[in-house]
Amino acid sequence: MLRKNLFKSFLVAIAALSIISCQKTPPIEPFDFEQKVLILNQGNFTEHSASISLYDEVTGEIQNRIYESANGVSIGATIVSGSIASMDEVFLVCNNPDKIDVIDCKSAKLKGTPITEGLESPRYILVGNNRIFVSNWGYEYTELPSGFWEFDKSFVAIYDRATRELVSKTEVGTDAEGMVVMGNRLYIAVKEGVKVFTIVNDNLIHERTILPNGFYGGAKHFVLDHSYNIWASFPEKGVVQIDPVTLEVLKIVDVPIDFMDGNIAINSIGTTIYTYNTEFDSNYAPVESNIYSVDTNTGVVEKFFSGNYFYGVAMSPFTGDIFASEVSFTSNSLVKIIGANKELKKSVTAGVGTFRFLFF
Amino acid sequence: MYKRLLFISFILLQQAHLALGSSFDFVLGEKSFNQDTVSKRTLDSIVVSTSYKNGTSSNGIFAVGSNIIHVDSSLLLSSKSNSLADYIREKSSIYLKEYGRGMRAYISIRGTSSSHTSLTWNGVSLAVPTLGQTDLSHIPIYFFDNMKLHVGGASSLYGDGSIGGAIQLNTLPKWKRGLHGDVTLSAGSFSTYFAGTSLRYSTGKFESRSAFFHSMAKNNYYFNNATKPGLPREKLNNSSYANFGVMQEFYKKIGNSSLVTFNVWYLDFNRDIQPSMSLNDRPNTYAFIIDKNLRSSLSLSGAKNSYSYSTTISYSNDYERYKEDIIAASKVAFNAEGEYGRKKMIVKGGVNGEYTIPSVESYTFAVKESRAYGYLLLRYDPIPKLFISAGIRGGIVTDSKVPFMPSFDIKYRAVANNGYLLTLRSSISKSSKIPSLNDRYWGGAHTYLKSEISSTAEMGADYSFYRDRFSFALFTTFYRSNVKNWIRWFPAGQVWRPQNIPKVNSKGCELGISFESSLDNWNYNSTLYYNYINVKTVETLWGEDPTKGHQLAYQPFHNLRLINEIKRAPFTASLHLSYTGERTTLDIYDKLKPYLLVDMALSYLFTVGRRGVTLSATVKNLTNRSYQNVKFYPMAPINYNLSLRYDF
Repeated sequence: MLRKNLFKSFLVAIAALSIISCQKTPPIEPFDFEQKVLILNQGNFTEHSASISLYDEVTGEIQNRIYESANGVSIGATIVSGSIASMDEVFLVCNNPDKIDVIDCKSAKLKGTPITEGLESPRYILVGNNRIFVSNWGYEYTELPSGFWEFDKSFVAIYDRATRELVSKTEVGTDAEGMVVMGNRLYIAVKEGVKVFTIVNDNLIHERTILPNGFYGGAKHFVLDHSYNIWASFPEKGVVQIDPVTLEVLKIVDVPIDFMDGNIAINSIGTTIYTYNTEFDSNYAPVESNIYSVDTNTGVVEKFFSGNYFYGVAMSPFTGDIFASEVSFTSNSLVKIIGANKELKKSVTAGVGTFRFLFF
Repeated sequence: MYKRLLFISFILLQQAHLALGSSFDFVLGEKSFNQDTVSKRTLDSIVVSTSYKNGTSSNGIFAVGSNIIHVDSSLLLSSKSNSLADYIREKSSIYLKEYGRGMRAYISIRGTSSSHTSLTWNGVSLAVPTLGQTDLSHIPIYFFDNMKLHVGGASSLYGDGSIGGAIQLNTLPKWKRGLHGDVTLSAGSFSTYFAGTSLRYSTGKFESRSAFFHSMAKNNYYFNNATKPGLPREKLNNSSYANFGVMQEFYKKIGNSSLVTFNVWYLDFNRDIQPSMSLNDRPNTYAFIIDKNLRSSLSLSGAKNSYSYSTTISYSNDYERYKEDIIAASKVAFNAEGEYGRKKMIVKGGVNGEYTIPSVESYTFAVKESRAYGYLLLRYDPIPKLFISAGIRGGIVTDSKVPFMPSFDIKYRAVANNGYLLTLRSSISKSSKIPSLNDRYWGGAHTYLKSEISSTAEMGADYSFYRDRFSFALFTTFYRSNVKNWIRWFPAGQVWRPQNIPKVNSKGCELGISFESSLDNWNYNSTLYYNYINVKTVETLWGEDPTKGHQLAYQPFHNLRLINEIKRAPFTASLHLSYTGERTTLDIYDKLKPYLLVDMALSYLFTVGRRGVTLSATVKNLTNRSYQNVKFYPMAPINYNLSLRYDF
């Protein structure tokens, strides 16, 4: 009963806030677009060499650098995330320089002026009909003894989708990353764990921070399973199932997760989570890189596929194929399309630093 | 009269060979091993140099089968207000990777990286030991009297890092009694200014040279932003620089055949880092870099009968600050070598050592590096038509293994009559590069890194002829080089770490054609250089690397330079065309357009009170081509420069 009410409130929230993240939320409507996969190539940070590719699941052909082909200019930045919104626009979140490009889904042409106001190392985006939520690291940082930086004034910026004007900014913790909205709650992955905020108009009011006992290190990204429970990735530990109503931790599964990006994916029916991780030897050479599957019901972890250096994984909701990228960031990436039987079906060459797959 | 014409043609031919890269001794004969200048006399308008031996020979004479480009002071004269990067870009077909006008510039010879070319000043390395490479935009031509550019692997001759080639910059005494010097001033577009002065005082036994320069530019030119729809025209921000340098040299003859030399220079570079065009309107990302470089050396050299020697001790200090990061290093080095020469043979051997103390916060260890090398070089000319040379070098370096570096060269003069000369040459060599200190210690101890090792084989031919007032010369070289353990940095989780790429293969050809003619008071010469480079990773670190078999990033297949010059005293006009071929970024699908640049110059030489004054005007990028050498770093549109040089 509680679940049903939650589901209703979720739908109401979607209608109200229209926050849809095609990559993170389970498919609610059937896909009516052609079977195309938009491949995001992060690019080399110092070279501003982000690009996007388009893969046709029917023909098996890939088109690289479609942004340049469509617009006559380069992205000239590093893509850190992206999202398909309303099935007609793609939002590309970029660093160096900080901007959010909006392109048309069918033509890849730029739509309007990029969003730049209020961005400070933006990370993740949720786009709805009325509002856009963007997590940002912020520019202020503290250097840790290890030499790494942490951004303890991370914030979420909210924009009006129609005008693309900044509406509000709220500090949310340290190293803000992935987000998900359910009902009137915003869940955001930060170094402190999973922070839960109540959305009141365009303000975020902190409700609780979820960090399982014995956990250290931060949360990175979210997926929703078939029961609309939230799964958060904690690269230091594994994945954690959270009840979005009670905010209790339901399950903890130890599974290797990429420490750099921490991204995880889930299949279209919300029963299997995919993670990836690369192990390095004492000479910093990759010695083992695997894609792991996690059964959301049983918590059983299996090694799904092995490679050299994975940096992205996703599952096609149409074919059920797993898309995984192998990267070096100093050259082009290899996209591997793997069948449900764990057999490699095809490899295609994409841009530099391939890391996300957006399915139409 | 015939002899005079022949002599003039001979000199012209010699100059053509100098520009084309044939060895000087090829023309003058095998006895003229030592190019060190010394005394001069004037015959009409032609300066003829003879030499006496006051030290060991240049190592270049032990590479008879290699391509060595000699650039004398007269060829450097028109570039005095420029950097070495400007010179290489404009007057050779060697590729230079540049991040803007007056910004970072890195040489790439035969497809190798900038750390694969050694650069020395009077034998003292100019590479920053922490980085293991040299930014050529930091090297002022103004200080130097001549330059030798050895194209091809040459570690047996010049030591560590000469995998792609070696550049030797030299300063020399002139022994012209009294006080002499020059003042050079220039001003150009984008608030570009240069002022330099050089003062020489010589007694014939002692010479002092003092030189100073200051250069600056705002570089606030306009460009079309290729990261914004509509390619809006923007003014370039944060691209200024202000540099100065000072050099002092003392030369003292001891007896008739010994020389003591002391050199010191200090360079101070304060430069904005030109933003990529996507960051041009983001002031929060602007940055600048400060470099301070000190080089000093004390040397003693001499010769007696068939024996000669040279010893040098040097100290260098490099300091670079970028934001909060400071990279600094001090180095003490010494070199001692002896040579024995007879009519048909020269043997040279030497030892050198270096002790480097870096000061870099990002090194996790208190690193100190010691290096010691020994080398033996031989040249043997068994018959007048045949020249053979060989060399070997080996050494020990802290935390690194140094491979043996041998070389063998042969040259055969197939035709030499009636003004025709045809020479065939070949060379094989093995060269190496020890990982730089940054490679080994930045962020940890990367002592697993192996030295980069190249094996190079090349062959070529030089052809020339002269007839009265006309001369023609051609050279061509074909080469193949395999570089093992090429070092690059790769991501390893949250950090980047260096790794050895198993094998990179480079092959290609170099071509040079020179033509010179004179009629009445007119003199015309034209020189074409062309490079074809095919450089690919053939064994990748990651077996499925999609770039395997593709041309390396920022390596054009084709580079071409055409230099035309016409003289009629007191005027000289020149037209330069430079073509840089298509190349890719790290993304093999991201292709940068080729570009052709046209430069023009006109100079007028006149006298003021018996002193020479040269007034020059230059127009660069005459066609106002909008281009990028490195993606997103716009280069300068059409620009002008006016310079005045007063010699006294």
